[in-house]
Formats: sequence, C-alpha cells, structure tokens
Amino acid sequence: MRMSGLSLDSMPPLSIPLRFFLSAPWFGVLASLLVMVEPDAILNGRWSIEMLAFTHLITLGFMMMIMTGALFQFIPVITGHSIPGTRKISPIIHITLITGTLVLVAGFLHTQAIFFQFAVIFLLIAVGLFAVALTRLLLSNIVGKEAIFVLRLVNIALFITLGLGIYMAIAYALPHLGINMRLYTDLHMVWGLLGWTILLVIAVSSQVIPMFHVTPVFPANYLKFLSVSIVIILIFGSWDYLSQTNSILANVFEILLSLAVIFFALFTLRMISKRKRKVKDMTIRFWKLALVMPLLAVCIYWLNGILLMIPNNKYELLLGLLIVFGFTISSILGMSQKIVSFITYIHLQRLSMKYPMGMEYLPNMQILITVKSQEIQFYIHITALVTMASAIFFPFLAILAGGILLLDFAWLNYSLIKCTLIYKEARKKITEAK
Amino acid sequence: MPQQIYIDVSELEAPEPFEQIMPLVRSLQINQYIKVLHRKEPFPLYEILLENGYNYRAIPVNSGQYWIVIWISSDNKTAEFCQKMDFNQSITL
Repeated sequence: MRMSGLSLDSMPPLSIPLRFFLSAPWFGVLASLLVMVEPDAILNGRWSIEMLAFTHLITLGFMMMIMTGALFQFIPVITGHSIPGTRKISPIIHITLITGTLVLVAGFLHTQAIFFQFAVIFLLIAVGLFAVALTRLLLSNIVGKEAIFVLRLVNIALFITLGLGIYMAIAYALPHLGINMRLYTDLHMVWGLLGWTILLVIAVSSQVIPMFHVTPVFPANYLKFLSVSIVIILIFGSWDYLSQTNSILANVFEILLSLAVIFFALFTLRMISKRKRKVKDMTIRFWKLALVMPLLAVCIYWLNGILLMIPNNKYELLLGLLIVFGFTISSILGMSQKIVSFITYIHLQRLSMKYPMGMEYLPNMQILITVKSQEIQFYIHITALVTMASAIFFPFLAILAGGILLLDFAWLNYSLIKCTLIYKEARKKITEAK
Repeated sequence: MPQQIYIDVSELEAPEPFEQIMPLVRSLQINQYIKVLHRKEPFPLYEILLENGYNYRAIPVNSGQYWIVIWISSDNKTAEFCQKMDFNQSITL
C-alpha cells in the first residue's frame, strides 16, 4: 500500500548526476585559464569577447551543468518521481551542453558565424530538451508542492533566458540578418541571473536547508509570494525596458527587485540561524557567505547609483562577480559537496541491502567528502573571491586571481573525483563480499 | 497484535534518519512493524524498501511531519494490521 504515489525506479543511476558534477569543474578550470591568458581583455568590462567567453564557460559550462545534474538527482529525492526519460535524455543533454558551450566559447573567441550556428543547435537541444522534460514533470500532479511551485517559475525563467540567448546567438550566426541584439543582452543576463539562478536557489535551498540542517520548514506562503513577486517584477521590468520610455517605473522595478533579493537573503539567513543542532558544518558557512553577497551587491548597486564612486565598466564587473561567484557559485560549492556525498551514500546503502554481507564495507558519509576538504575549499573560494574583486581595481592581480580561481575549481574536481573513487572501491567490496 | 518498533528521526539531519532506520529494517521479523516519525517523505528509502521485499504506508501529520510504518511484504497479518492502523488513535507510543 503506497500512499505517496512513488514511481518505482525513480532514483536514477549514480552515473547520471555524477557525469554532470564531474564535468562542470573543468569548465571552471578553462574559464580560470582564460583569465590567466587574457587578463586585460577580461577586466575590460562585460562587452569584450573574452569576457563573454569567460561568462558562458561559467554560467553554461559550470552553473548550468551542475544544476542540471543536481536536478536529475534531487527531484526524485523531493518528489519520488524522476524527470521523464531521465536515462535516455541525460546523456544527450550532457554531451550537447559540453559541445554547445565549447563551440559557443570558440565562437566568441574567433567571432566566426559557423561556431554560433552549431552552438545554437547544440544548446537548443541541451537546454530545450531539459526544460521540456522538466515541464512535463512539473505539469503532472506530483507532491512536494511548494518547491514544485517555484520550480515551475524557474522553468519559465529558463525558457526566457534560453530564448533570448538563442536569439542573440542567431544574430551572431546569421550576421546578414542585421538583428539588433544589444537591447536583449541585459534582459538575457537579468533573466538568467536574477530569474533562473535566484529562483532555482530559492527552490532548492527551501528543501536542502531543512533536510540537511534541521531548520524549520520554509513556509509555503513565503516561497510562493517571493517567487511570484520576482517573476512579476521581471516581466513588467522587461516590458518597461523594451518600451524604452526611460520612465520612473524602471526605478520602481529596480527597488522592488532589490527588496525581493534582500528579503530572500535575510529570510534564509534567519532560517539558518534557527537550526536545532549548531554543529560545525561547512555547508552552512558556504550558505552564509553566499547569502551575504546579494546584500552587498544591492548596497553597491544603490550606493554607486547615487554617489557614482566606481567607473561603469568596473562596477558592472563587480556586481557580476558578487552575484555569480559570490552568491551562485558559493551556494553551488556548498550544496554540491553535500548532495554528492549524500546521493553516493544512499546508492551504497541501496547496494548493501542487496549484498548484506558487504555491510561492513559501507563507508560513513562524512568520509566521502571530509569536513577538512570542504574547509580547504571554503578558504580557497574566499581567497579567489577577494582576489578577483581586487583584480577589477588593481589589474596587476588578474593573473594571480585567475590562478586562485583555477585552484578553487580544481579542488572541487579533486573532492568529487575522490568521492567517486571511494564509491567505486566500496561498491566493489560490497558486491564481492561473501 | 504485531510488535511495534518505534523511532523518531524528525529532529535528525540527512542522512542520519536513513542510518537509524536501515538497521531496524534489516533486523525486522515477521509479526513486527517499524513506526517512524519523519520530518519529510523519505522517497529514496521507499524505493529501497520496495526493492527488498518490504512495504510501507506514509501518513502526513498536521505539523508537516509524516508517520511511516514499514513491514515485510510477505507478512500478510502485519500488512493488514498496518493498513488498517488509525494513526489518529495511535499517536501515543
């Protein structure tokens, strides 16, 4: 008698999320190498082609890759249902996301239309396939309603970001059409970072923070109010931006969006402070670091708007750094280490039920990615963040910043590979035990 | 009447609920059932239970928590007892 509507075989094989998790840090490494090779171009503002290449290595290659892998595994954990066709579509999404990102980056670096033509095809397959499969699940009658409600909005933001991105890539791919795309770059960035990314972090954090840190459950009304508010502000803000009336409404939308971001960060920090067992946990430190960043970004945004302290090109880079590296990547680093060790552990537990004699080889979850290893990751990440921010104002630090950033992604790679190796060894011992 | 084995994992962080429940599942006997108080629906646990000859029933509690009862699938008497169990009457442990 199953009351919760669990679909059997909902947990995908570990190889599915792992292939995304293990691929993502390499894009971070490539992005770091680009900073080291082209430091001046990258720090020259967000419009340089090197900066666009760097940004997409991070957002598509690292962020999108890891979040896709996490959702393939995480959605079954919170709903009991896997994303439809997971086993068939995940290898296609994985390979087309890798290829599409690399070809897009080559397109930016070589400014050749042919690269953009292929990038459009690969990325449309990768992101489109994922978004459509996720939509099929989200439109069905599944449990876990609060997070699912937010995930539906996440998907809308993903479709809009993808649509704008593809539109601009077509402008590069078919230059003879003379498409004016500058107007859409800001919207693409805002929908990607403030729509898709923040909404996804809201959805996932509302589930993983209570689950891993025993905080109170995030209220359903808070999640619905916050996520709907962000989407409404973004829709009307985009409409106002496209109408180019330069009205006072633009400031109203900026204020509302800032308030929504502040509300989210402070509310989540408050929930974290209410956790019942205040044991040392590096994921909590990553969360706290991540949640302070949007507050800092909003302060800088408004202070600079009034006082004009920082030149425009540096100010845009600083805001991007705070949101992408400070907020999103800090959240991802904290969550990915926790989620990967958790799912690895659950898969080994599952295996040990089939091979009871192998129970003694079941490792403790804490040894899969140790606290020490997470602590090293945390300090490397903070150092990378501070050095990158400093390099915006003191360009001679750029190569050093790129080097530390490389170390940041390489350490994540090391931790994830080590966890995978421990899993493989334990799996072998468990299945061979007599 | 089958013997109840009770465990409250509602204040434990993942994967501790799993670590506490699994040894009880492994040692579960005929004419016994496990009654768990959990803070969420443990879907990965459900799948492992079904794969290995166990069955379960999950009932939401007003506070957002869940009662979950687990028994051996082939144990028809205990299955019947668990399926008829009135959770409102059996909150006392």
